[in-house]
Amino acid sequence: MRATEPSEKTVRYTAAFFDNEHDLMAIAAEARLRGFEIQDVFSPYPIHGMDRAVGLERSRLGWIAFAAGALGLISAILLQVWTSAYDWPLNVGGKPFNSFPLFVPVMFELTVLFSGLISIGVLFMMNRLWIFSKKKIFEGVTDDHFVLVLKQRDASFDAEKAARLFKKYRAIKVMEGDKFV
Amino acid sequence: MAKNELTNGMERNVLIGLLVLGVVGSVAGLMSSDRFWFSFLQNSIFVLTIALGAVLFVAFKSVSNAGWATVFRRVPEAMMAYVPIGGLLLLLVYFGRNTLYPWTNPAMETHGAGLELGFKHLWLSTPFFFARMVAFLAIWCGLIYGIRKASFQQDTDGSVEHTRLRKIYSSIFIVVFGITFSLASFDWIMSLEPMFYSTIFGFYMIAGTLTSSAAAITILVVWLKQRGYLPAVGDKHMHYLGQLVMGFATFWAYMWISQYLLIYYANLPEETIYYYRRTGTTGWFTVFIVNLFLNWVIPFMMLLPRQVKMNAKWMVAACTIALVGHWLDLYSMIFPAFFGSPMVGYVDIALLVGSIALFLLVFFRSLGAKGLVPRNDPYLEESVEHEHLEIVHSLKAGTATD
Repeated sequence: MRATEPSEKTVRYTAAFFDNEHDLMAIAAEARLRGFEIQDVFSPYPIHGMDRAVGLERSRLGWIAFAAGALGLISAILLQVWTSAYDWPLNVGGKPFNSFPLFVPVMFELTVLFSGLISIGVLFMMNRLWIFSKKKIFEGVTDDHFVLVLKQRDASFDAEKAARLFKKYRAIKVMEGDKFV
Repeated sequence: MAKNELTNGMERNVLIGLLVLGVVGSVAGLMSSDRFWFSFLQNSIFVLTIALGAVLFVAFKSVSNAGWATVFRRVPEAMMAYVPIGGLLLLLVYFGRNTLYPWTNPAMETHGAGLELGFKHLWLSTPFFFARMVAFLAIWCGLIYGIRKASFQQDTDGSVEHTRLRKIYSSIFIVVFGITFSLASFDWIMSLEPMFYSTIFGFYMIAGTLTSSAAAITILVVWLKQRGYLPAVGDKHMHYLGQLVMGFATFWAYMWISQYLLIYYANLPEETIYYYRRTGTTGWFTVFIVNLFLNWVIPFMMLLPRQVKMNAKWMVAACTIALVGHWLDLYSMIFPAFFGSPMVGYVDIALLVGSIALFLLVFFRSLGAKGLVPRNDPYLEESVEHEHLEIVHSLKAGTATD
C-alpha cells in the first residue's frame, strides 16, 4: 500500500505468516510499538483498522478522486455546451440550445465515471498492483494466509526479539529474503 | 417513571414556554391570518417527517444487519414516539380542509375551463381522504409500537428473539411505508394543486425525510454526547452519520432534478404550472434557488472532507442547514400555490417553534424513560470502537448506568 523508495529494493526482509486477521492486527501494532519497521502487510481481504495498526498515513486517493470528478464535470459541461450550442446547434423540442437542466444527467454521469475510473487506476498504480508490476506475492496470501513483512534495514534489527514476537502471536511460518520488490 | 432526567428544570420550562407560545400564536393566527392552515400543514409535516425518517433509519439498520448505530439506537427510537402525537395533530387539518384543498369545493366538480379533475374525484373526496390519512397513520403507529416494544423488552430479558422480531417489523415497515408515504405525500401536499401531478413526488418527499431525520439524529446525538451521555459514541459514528446526511442530501438532489427534468422535457401545461409558480416571480425564484443550495449544495460541499464529518461543530452546522433546507423545501411545496410572494409571518414562527418544542418534549420524555443504550442487543459490541469496549462491558455487567 505504501510507496517505496528505490533504495528499499534491496532491503532484506523477514516475513511472518499468520492464520487469522486478529493476530496480524495485534502483531502489527505491537511490532510498531517495539520499534520494528513494517514494510507491508498482506491479507486476502481488506481489514478494518489495519491502516491504523500499521501506522499508515492518510491516503491521498481522496484528493485524486475529487480532482478526477471535477475534471469529469468540466469535460461534461464543455462537451455539451460546445456540441449543442456552438458546433452543431439542433432544435430539440423547442428548448434553447444552451439549456442547462438538460446537461445535468451527463454532468453527473461523467463526474462519476471519471472519478471512479481514474481513482481505481491510480489506486492500482499507488499500491503497485498494476499489470506490469513485478511485486512479490507470498504463497497463500490471496487465500487464507496473513503476512507481516518487517524490514531489516540496519543493525538495530533484533532477530531474537522478532522471533519472540512471532511466537507470541502464533506465527505459522517465518521466512527471510532479499529484494522485497 | 423517568429513568434519566436528560433535561434540567429550566430547559424543560423553556420548551414548555415555547410550546405555549406556539399554541397562543396558532390561536391568534387561526383568528386573524389567512396563512394559518398552510403554515400548520407545513410545520406538522416537517416535524412528522423527521420522526418518520427515524423509523426508516432504524428499519434500514435492522434489515441490513448493520451493527454500527446500535449504541445510539435509542435516539431514533425516541424520535419515533412523536409519530402518534404528530399524527393526531395532523388530523386537525380536517377543520382547515376548505381553506387548504381546492378539491373540497363542490364548484370544482362542475367547472370546465381547465379545472376538470376527471377521475381524480374518485380519489380526492373528503371522507376517503381522511379515512386514508387515519389508516396510514394507524399502520405506521402500529409498526412503530412493535419495533419499540421489541427493543425495550430485550433490555429486560436479553433474548435474541426480539432482534429477529424487530427485523420482521422493519421489513414490513419499509415496504408499507414506501407505498403509504408516497400516497400520503400525494394526498397531503400534491393535492393542494389538484391539477398538478408528478409520480416521483413521493420519492422526492422520502428523500427529504431521510436527509432531515439523519440530520436531526446527528444533532441530538451530539447534544447528548456533550452532556456526557452516550460515552461510547465516537468518531466512527459521527463519520458514518456524516456520510448518511451527505448521501441522502445527494439522493434528494437526484430526485429534485429527476422531477424537474421530466417536467421540463415534456412541457405539459398542467405540470409546468407547478414550476411556473415557483420560478415565475423574483421572490419565489429566490426561494427555489436557495432551497437547492440549503438542501444539497452547501451540505454536500461542507461534508466532503472526512475531518469535517468527525467534527461535532461542523456536523451540527451542516445538519442545521439541511434541516432549514427541509423546512424551506416544504414551504416551497405548499405556499406558492396560494401566495404571490414568499413571506414569513408570526404564525409561521409560532408554529415552527411550537412544533419543535413539542417534538423535543416528547423526545426527551421518551428517551429518558428507558435505558440510553440497548444493553442486551447482540450488535452492541460490534457498534463501538475498540477503546470504548470497556464501557459496554460494564454496562452489560450492570456495574455502570447509562
